[in-house]
Amino acid sequence: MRLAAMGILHETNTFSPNPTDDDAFEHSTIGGGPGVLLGEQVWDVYGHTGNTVAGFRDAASLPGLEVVPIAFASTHPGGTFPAATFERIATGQLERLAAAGPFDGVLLAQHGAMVVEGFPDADAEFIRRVRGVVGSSVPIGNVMDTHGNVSPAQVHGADLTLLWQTNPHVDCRDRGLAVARLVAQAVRGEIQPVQAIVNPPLAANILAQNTADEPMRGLLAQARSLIETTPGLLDISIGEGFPYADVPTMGMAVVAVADGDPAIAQRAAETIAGAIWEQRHAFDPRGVPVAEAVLLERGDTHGPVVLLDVGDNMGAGTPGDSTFILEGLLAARRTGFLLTVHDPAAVVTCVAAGVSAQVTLSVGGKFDGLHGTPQIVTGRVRILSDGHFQAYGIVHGGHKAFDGGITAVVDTAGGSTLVLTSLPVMTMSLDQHYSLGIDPVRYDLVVAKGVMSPQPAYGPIASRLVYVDTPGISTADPRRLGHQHRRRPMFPFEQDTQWSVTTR
Amino acid sequence: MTRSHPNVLVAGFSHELNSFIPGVSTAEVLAVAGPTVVGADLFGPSVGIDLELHAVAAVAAELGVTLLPSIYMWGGVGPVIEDSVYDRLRQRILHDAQLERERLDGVLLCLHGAMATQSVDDTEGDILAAVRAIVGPDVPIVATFDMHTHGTARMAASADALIGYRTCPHTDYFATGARAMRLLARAMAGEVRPTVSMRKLRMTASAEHHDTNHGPMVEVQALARELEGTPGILDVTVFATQPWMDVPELGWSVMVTTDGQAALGQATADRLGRAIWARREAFRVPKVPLHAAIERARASSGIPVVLSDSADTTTGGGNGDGNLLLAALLRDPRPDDSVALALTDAAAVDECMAAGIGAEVTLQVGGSLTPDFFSPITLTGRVITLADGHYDSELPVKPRDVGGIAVVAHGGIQVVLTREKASQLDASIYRRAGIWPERVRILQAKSAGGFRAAFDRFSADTMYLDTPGPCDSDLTRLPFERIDRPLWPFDADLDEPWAGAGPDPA
Repeated sequence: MRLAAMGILHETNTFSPNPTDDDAFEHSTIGGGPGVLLGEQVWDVYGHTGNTVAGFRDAASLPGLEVVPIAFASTHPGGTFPAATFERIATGQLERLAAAGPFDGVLLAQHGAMVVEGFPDADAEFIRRVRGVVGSSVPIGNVMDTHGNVSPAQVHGADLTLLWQTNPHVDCRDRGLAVARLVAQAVRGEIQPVQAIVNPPLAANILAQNTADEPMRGLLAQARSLIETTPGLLDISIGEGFPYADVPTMGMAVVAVADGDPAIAQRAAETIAGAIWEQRHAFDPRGVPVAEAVLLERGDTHGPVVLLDVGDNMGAGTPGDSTFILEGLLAARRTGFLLTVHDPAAVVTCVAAGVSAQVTLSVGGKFDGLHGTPQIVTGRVRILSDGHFQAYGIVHGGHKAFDGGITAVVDTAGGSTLVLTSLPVMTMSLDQHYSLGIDPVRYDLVVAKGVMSPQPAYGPIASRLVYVDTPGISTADPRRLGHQHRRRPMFPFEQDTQWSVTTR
Repeated sequence: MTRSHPNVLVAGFSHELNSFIPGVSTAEVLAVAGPTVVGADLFGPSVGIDLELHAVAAVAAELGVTLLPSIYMWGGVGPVIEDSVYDRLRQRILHDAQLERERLDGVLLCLHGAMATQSVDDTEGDILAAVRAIVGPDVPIVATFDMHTHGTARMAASADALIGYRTCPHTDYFATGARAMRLLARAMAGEVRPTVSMRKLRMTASAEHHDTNHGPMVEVQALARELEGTPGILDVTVFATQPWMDVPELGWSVMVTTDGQAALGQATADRLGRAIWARREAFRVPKVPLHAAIERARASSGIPVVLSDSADTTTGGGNGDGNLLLAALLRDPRPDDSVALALTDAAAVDECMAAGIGAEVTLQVGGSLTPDFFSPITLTGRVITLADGHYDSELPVKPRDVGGIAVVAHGGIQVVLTREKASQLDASIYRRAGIWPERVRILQAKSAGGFRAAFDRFSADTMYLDTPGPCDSDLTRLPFERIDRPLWPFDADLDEPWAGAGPDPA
């Protein structure tokens, strides 16, 4: 049995003015190199990571299975794709799929929150085109991110839809392997997969999306228990939704897969969607104000206080140069903090000055006028690095090779450390700091730009993780973003939204 | 003599000679290794933290002893000290001793025991004898020493007690200083009359197996502690000697301090001396040829595999420019190599700084400082990290400065170039250079055993490379000229641990 492995995996923040264009794919900071991979390159770059694609590769070792890497494209989160970038990548993948066929099945690694000019639900568009190549009789299994904006068009465009069910994402590879097993069973005729999707009108605040915490923890347990007790029910996925995309499909979703009987899938999806709606107020928590967060003390604890910069969540497509927390720390005259800023201009200054040189820098706040103003910092250049690093241990999304571009470490006159990167590399591995000779445990306060993605790395060293309620295009409260294209009414925008699984 | 607040003169110096590296340790060279401090700064942080002097200060405060600090020099390891440097130190100490003579109740010197100048082989014996001549026979003199002391008859004759480290890697600086100060206080109070008995052995051994956590030294130290329990014995110290110093009195010694019981002291020193002699073969170091070591490391199921380039031990006098491991790796690089090794080369660091971060460079590296053993080799690679040289080491906890760092990557071989030599008693130089040592497959340690306390915490396997160098563990390969013979292992058939001792009991 021959299965094709492919996909375009991208999380698009439509509030970002920085398009996910050819340049963004030229150099993926989360893949450590080119973002568009063809053929065996896919296995070379992603085969040993924790990503969905690695799970597809694992499936190649199952008896009787051949998995052919067609192509895979991914890059760090960013703004809406220009149509030409999407067309180039999609066409390239589809031509290779057609040329390498025929296949018995297709394995897709998508995100579910990809937005392209003209295609607000670009994942659905891509799935539709894949179907066009392979035809209706070839099963398509698709794995998407826990917080994709999962739509009926995506789900019904494929035969099997599974979402990652962890956030931070640490089960991507397992879900990749799981969908491959199901596709193989479908090809052999051992199962007849049928799917159902229910979309409650609910946008989940990012602060409520950690699957280790309530309300997600309990809902996932309920879903697991339903699978175990319902004959014929193969899988349930809860989609948390990606509130930073201004599209009609934005919001939560429940996808159920059953064997043969659509009513079983429908009932399961409705049950979980109903439970989610019951808890909708728990999906709307608040972070800690900046002025309060910057005063937190590590005290006599084992590790630093880790401040999570919610409004500059690079995993949600922000520029990574927010200065709201830096401004607060400087105003509070804090010492002993470690903060990472994406600022190529400041790096250029440091490189020109050289190691050990004194520099005065205007740091951050430069990309879009939405993430604070540049802050003046004086200090000494301690280290310059080419910015490449490998991540070890459990990493959000299973990423392995990272590239921050030329990176400078500056010890500030105030006794703190700034890490300045040339590329928008996400702060989700301690190896980023290790590669710069920095032991983050020694600091009083460490700032990570993200909400969920830093937690697998920073959680173990943090004496406390704090969601800081910073402004920005990934702000915790979706009401601040000014959506134009979302469904209406929708919670929490319209607090009195009425909905029930039975009155849809 | 039993003043309620006795006055104690405190002074000292620390340097470890390696006779097989070229040059002279001038004041400028020594200043790079560490500070020279006077007055109250002896007890401050500039020398380090939790060292002997800090213990002396702490215990003195506890016991109500007034300290009169003179001068202290921390000089690291290297070639012979320039005569004028020692002359100045000596003059200052003797001047202060003379000045304070009338009110002195005791003297405490913190020494290393392996410092030699262009014309003085035994500076420690010399300073102890000179201070004794000033303070007279009734003022107790206690001195602390490193384990790598080439104990001499003059040291033993001039001091009332010689107190040495009991650990290697050395972690008991503070405990040693505290023990010395407490003993001195008891002597000043007239509670004990310490006297030193000494036994010199016709034996020397490379530093690898001085390790008190593994191998034959574990038993030697255990026996020393057991003997210390004998009534009348105040301290039992084993000096394993710095093996790479070409001086007449090279060799192990045992120093036993008793409460006026010289005969017991001598019998105890002899008993421990025989026990060490009986274990001498166990002090030989099993070395692995370069190629075999690299292959074993590449095949290892666990990482990292630590390769000790012990012949270029930077804390034993090596300059850290030994490039034989790098040369072997570059002859046959593999796509999946994952290597970190540090190398001293100031010119190469400067070239990298000039080329800039990310630049492709072709450099001549290593071999520039120790031409008797090494010669430069060509390294082509990419400058992936540039850094200043400041960091804190873990063993001991101490601020360091190697003057500048550049990391050049040739595939997976990461060469950490430093302007000044870096201690590899722990892996902090690698961490500072952005390499987490736990992550690499092959990790070089230019250390002859001291590295194990830190590296064993995370290493999967450890080998001693069979490389030549100024700290070669095969001592017979080195050009010793001045050592007293016979001396094991140079005289491998030697059957008496000292003249007249008789051969080993069957």
